[in-house]
Amino acid sequence: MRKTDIIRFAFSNFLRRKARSMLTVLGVVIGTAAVVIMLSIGIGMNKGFEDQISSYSNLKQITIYSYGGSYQYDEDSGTYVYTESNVVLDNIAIEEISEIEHVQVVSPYYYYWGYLIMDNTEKCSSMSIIGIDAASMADMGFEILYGRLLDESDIGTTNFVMTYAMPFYFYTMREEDEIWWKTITEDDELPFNPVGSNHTYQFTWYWSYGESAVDTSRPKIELEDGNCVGILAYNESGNYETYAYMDVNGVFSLALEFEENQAKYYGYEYTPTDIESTEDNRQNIYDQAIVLVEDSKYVQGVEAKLNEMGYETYSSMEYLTQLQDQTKFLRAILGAIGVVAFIVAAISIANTMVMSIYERTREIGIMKVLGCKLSDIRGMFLIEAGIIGAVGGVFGVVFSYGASAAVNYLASAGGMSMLGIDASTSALSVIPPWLDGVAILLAIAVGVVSGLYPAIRATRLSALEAIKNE
Amino acid sequence: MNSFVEFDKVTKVYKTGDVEVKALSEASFTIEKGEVCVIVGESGAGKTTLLNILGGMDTLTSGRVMMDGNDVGSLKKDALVNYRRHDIGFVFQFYNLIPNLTALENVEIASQLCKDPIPAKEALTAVGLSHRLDNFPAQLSGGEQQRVSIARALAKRPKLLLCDEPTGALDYETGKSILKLLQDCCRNDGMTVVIITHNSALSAMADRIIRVKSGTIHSVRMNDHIVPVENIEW
Repeated sequence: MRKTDIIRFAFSNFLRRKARSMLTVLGVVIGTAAVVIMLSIGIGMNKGFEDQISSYSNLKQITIYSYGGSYQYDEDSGTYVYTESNVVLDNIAIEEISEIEHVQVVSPYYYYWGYLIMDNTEKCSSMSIIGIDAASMADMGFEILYGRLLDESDIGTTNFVMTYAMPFYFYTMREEDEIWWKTITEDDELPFNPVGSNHTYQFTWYWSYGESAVDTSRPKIELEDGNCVGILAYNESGNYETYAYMDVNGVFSLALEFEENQAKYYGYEYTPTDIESTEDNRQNIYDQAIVLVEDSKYVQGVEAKLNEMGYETYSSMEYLTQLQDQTKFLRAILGAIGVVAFIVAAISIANTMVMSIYERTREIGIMKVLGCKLSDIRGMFLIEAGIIGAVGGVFGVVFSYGASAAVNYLASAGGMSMLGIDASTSALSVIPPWLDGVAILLAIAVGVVSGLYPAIRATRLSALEAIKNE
Repeated sequence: MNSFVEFDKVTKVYKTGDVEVKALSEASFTIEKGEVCVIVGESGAGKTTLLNILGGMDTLTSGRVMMDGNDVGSLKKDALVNYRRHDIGFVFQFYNLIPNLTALENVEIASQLCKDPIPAKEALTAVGLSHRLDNFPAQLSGGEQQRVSIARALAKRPKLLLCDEPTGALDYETGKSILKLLQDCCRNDGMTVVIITHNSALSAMADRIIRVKSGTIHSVRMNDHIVPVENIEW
C-alpha cells in the first residue's frame, strides 16, 4: 500500500465515526489542557517571583561585601568567635573577579558622604557620593532620564550622575531646614532639571556650610567643583536615594582633599589614607563590588566561585532560587493532576481503537486476504490514534490559552494573590511557546502509544475468522 | 512433469480443546495450468478448507501442497502474505468489499499491492462496470458487487483465481453471468480458475471436476463435454 493511502485510510476511519472520534478527541483536549494549565500555573508562579524580584533588583547582579570579618559559632567554647576576613576588596581583587568565566563587568563601590551646594550657595543638600567604575556604568543597568551616564571620559573626574530623588531634597540654604524624608511618586514633576549649564555644583565636607557666618580665624573651607552630567530615571524604591554616582577615582581625590582640609580646619595631624594596594600589601579599599554576570543562569555558578574565594555575597537570584525551591512541591502536585488527566485520555484512545477493531474486523480480514503487509495495517491504526492525539493536542493547547486567560482574569479581578504574588501585576498562568509544542508532541505520543496495543491486536486477527462472520 | 497445482496426501485437523475434527484427510489431486476446475461437495465436506489451504490462508497438518513450484505448506507468515499478494486472487460468496471505499478504490487497494497490476479502471471496465466506478458497495446490486470483487482479484494478475461459492448469494441469471465472466477469464487470459460450489450442475462448465466427500477426495475427472455457461440450467 502507498503511504499516502495508509494516511488517507486512517483519516477516513477517523471521520467515519464522527461522534466517537470527537468524544475521544475531547478527552485528549481536556488532558492536554489540564497538563498545559497546571504547568502554566507553576511557570507563572516562578515568573511571578522573578518579575517581582527583578522589579527592584537586577537578577544578573551579585553584590560582594567587604566585611572586615565575620562572627562564627564556635562549638568548643560555645561562643561566637570573630574571625578576621582574609580577603580584601581592592583593584587586584576586582581584576581577579573580572577574570571569572561569564562575568561581564565588575565595578567597585565606595561610599562617601558630602554636601552638594548648587548655584553658588543658593541651595544645597546632603548626599551619599557613590564611587563606581565610570566606564562600566552603562553595563550596570542604570536608566538615564536626562543627560548621560558616566563613561570612560569621566574616569578620575568629579563629574557625577544624580538619582531622581535628589532634586526634591535641595533646600534654600539660609532659610529652610534640611529635608530628611520626602515621598516621591512617579507622577511628581521634577522641581528642576539639574543637568546642563544652567546650574553649577560644588561639594564640601562641612555640614553647616553657609548657615552662619564663617569663622574667619580658621583656615578656609575648601569647595570642590562638580559637574552634573545626568539624572537617573524614576525608581520605585528610590524615595530616599539621595546619591550622586561618580567615578571611584574622582571620589578618592575628593575624599583626600576634604580630609586634608578638615584636618587643617580643626588643627590636627593629618595622615593621608592609603588608597593604593600592592601585591605585597593588600588592603581593603572598596566597600562593595557589584558583579554583573552575562546571564542570570550563570549567577549561581559565579556566586559559588566567589564564595570559594572567601567573599561574602548576595544575589537576588539566590533568593529567587530559594523561593522557587519552596514551591517545587506545589508545582509537582499541579503537574501530577495534569498527568492523571492525560492518562485518562490515553485510556479512552485505547478504548476507542479497540472498539474500532471490533467494528472493522472484516475489513482488516479482507486486507489480509488481499496480501496487505501487516506493518501497513498496524500503521493505519497507529496513524489513526496519532491523529486523535494530534487533533486533541492542538485543540487542547488552543483551549488552554482561553482557560489561562480566564484564570488570569479571575485572579486579577478578584484581587487574589497567591503565595505572595500580586495577581494584578503578574499573570498567575503563563504559557511559554515551548509548552505548546511539547504539549502537542506529548498528545501525539500518547495517542500512538495507546494505539499500540490495538494496532498489534489488529495484525494478530485471523484473516479466516475475520471474513467468515456474515 | 509437475502439475501447476498439486495436493499430496493433505490432512487438516482442527483442534478445539480436546476435540479433534478432521476436515481433510489425505487429499491428493492435481490441477493443470489454464484449467477451469470445479470442486463440488456437500456443505462441510471440506471444500472451503481445501481452498483456504491452497490460498495460503490456512495451514495444513500434514502432506504437501505445491503451486507453480512453490511449497505453500512450508511458507512462513511473511512469505504467505507475499504469496497471497502476488499469486492468488480471491472471490468470495459475500463479495467482501470494503464498504467505505468506492468500487474504484476497492480495486485500487488491491492493484497497489503488486508491481505490474491491471489499472483499476481497466479491470472494472473488463467486468462491465465502467459506469459505476464511483459508487459505494451499498449502491451496487449483488451481481455488480461480485463483479467488483472479481475485478479486484484480477487486477493483481494472479496465477490462480480462487472462487468460494461465487454465485451462492446471487439469483439465477446474475449467477450465470458471473460464471460466464469467470469462464471467459480462463479462456481468454489463460488464467487457472478454481471454483468451489455445492451445486453439481455447475460442474458441466469445468475442465476438471473434483468431488469432495467428508474430507476425502471422492473423484477427480476431466470433463469431456464442456457445456457453455449459457446452456447450463439448474
